[in-house]
Amino acid sequence: MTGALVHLRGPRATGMLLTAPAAMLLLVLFFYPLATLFLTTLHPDNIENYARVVSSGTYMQVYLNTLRLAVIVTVIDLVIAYPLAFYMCRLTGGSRMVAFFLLLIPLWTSQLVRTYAWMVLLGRNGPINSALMALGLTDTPLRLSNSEFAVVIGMVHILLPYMVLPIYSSASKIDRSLLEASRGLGAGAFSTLTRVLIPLTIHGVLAGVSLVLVLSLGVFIMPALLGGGRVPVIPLLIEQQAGSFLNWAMAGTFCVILLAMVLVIFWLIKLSTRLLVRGRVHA
Amino acid sequence: MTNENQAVLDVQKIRKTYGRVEALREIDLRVAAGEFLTLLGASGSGKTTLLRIIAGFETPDSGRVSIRGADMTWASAAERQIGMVFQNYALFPHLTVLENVMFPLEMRRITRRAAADRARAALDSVHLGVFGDRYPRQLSGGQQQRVALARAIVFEPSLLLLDEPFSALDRRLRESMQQEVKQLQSSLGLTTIFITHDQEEALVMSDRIAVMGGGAIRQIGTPAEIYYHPNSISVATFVGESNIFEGVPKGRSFYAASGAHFSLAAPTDCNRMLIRPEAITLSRASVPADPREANVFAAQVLDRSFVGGFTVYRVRLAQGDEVSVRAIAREGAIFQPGETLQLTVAPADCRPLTDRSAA
Ligand SMILES: Nc1ncnc2c1ncn2[C@@H]1O[C@H](COP(=O)(O)OP(=O)(O)O)[C@@H](O)[C@H]1O
Ligand SMILES: [Mg+2]
Repeated sequence: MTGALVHLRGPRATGMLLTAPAAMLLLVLFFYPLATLFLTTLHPDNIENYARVVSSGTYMQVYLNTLRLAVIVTVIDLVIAYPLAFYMCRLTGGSRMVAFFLLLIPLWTSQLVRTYAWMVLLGRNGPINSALMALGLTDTPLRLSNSEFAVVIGMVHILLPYMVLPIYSSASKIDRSLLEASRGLGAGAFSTLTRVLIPLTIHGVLAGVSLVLVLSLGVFIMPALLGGGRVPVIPLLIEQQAGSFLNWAMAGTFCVILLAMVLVIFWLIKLSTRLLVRGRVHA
Repeated sequence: MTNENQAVLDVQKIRKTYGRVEALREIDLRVAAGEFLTLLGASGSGKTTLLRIIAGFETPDSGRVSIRGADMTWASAAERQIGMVFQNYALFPHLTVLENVMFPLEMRRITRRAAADRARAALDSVHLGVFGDRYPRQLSGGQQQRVALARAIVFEPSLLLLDEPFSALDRRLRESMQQEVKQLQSSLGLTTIFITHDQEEALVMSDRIAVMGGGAIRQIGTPAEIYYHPNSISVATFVGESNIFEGVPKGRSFYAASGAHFSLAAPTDCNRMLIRPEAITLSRASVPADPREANVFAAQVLDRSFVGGFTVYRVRLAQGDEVSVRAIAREGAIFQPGETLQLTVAPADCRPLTDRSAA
């Protein structure tokens, strides 16, 4: 998925050779079903589905909502991940291992399990509400789950590693003396951030942003289980069409439009990479 | 140099420990305006730690750092107006050469235009005027070094710090950079602290040298003072080659443990003495000499090594001491191993080592 953002250095041929098995696998298992789905939606019987979706205010609203949710999750993850990645760069030995372990646990746990965990945590009588009431911050339990708030929290949590890892990878390559040089040359903390740190980590940031943005467009379980029907997103519509109405053509139409959205986002990010990164700096 | 108003940098009683390691123990150091001072010492002697405390990248456990009379002990690096050249250059890889040099000016809210002009002038002064549009990685090590130098001086810092700037360069490049830095420094009147572990580099470049060892300044003085009047074995052996004698002083005489007797230029009570290898003369003729003007010994050549402009001999005195001698290599005046010669050394070249606290 990130193929567009990964710049393979060295001889091109070697790179192609090395990616060939993965490419074959993707071709058979991923591209073939996708193409079939796409062709189904183009069938004369189904083609008017596109018009129906695009002209429907409700469906378009759901697309916008999906995108809005994805942007919120991405921004929150970026704000959390950026300092976290730098902090992890400064850790050594055991504490670094612990930090990585904690970060990667969500990736090793089933999404369903993580979602149920959040349902318990955010539930009416869950530990968060109990703590808030014990502290006297609230008298009645807050409705934390079955809300967009719950969905955002859950998604921020599961997608955080996808933001941290690319940023960590570019941050760990920054020589400490560059930061000292910046301070010594008269830059304050803010100037050092904007003039040195961010430019040197921009590749990682853009990779993280595109990963999280695209992944959050496709998240199904969180809105389904933590949203309580109040968080309409496209993956829910797709599931409904395919699962309940057995309308594969309609589900496929939703998919294709979502995919188009993803491609546009990738294109925009690639464009901004070109604008933000001058020269050919791989930092 | 000791005038209170003239000191650009005044370091008082600086201590710094890392866990159990005493990196610095009570460092006092004053640097006068326009002075080129070198911190010379073996690896681990605390040079970098001291420089980083002066630059504001590290805080001392106790003591004071003043710059131009103002207490800067707790000031941030950005406030100190110090230009620093890092050992690895620390150039910003995402900025061009010109932008790197403009960086400190832009941080001082100088307009882009004026900053670019000044940065170009600074690049010209290090002969890199035409490289402004390149990125650092497109330059050689020596060129990157110059960019770092231009960036450190472009904002007219009150102090220039260089931490082993030439250690990664090959010998010839190092020598030409030494020349260039020295010229730039004196033409701009830059107060400079320079770190090296290379004694030759220290002798060539410095107005004064502070020899560091074990987190302390062992001796501070002009290159000639350090070379001719080292106060301890550690300083004597670190700077230049040396013959060290241990023994007993008695007025203007020094009796080495072997029994060899040396006349001195002045009375001393030191029990260690230094003779530089080049202060010794070897000759075939046995000229009778007045012991007040020259110390004369019979010596046998053990071996020799030809080092271009001069020859280094190892000889053994009749009393048993082994001595190294450096003689100008004139053709025809080359001695053979096994030869017995007359060894002469002037009393003024027998130099007592005064610091008994140090080894
Ligand atoms: N950040 C640090 N943490 C722990 N020990 C340090 C640190 N910096 C320096 N030291 C120790 O302090 C001593 C002096 O180091 P340094 O100032 O780098 O010496 P030099 O620059 O003369 O080689 C050394 O023993 C070194 O191991
Ligand atoms: Mg050092």
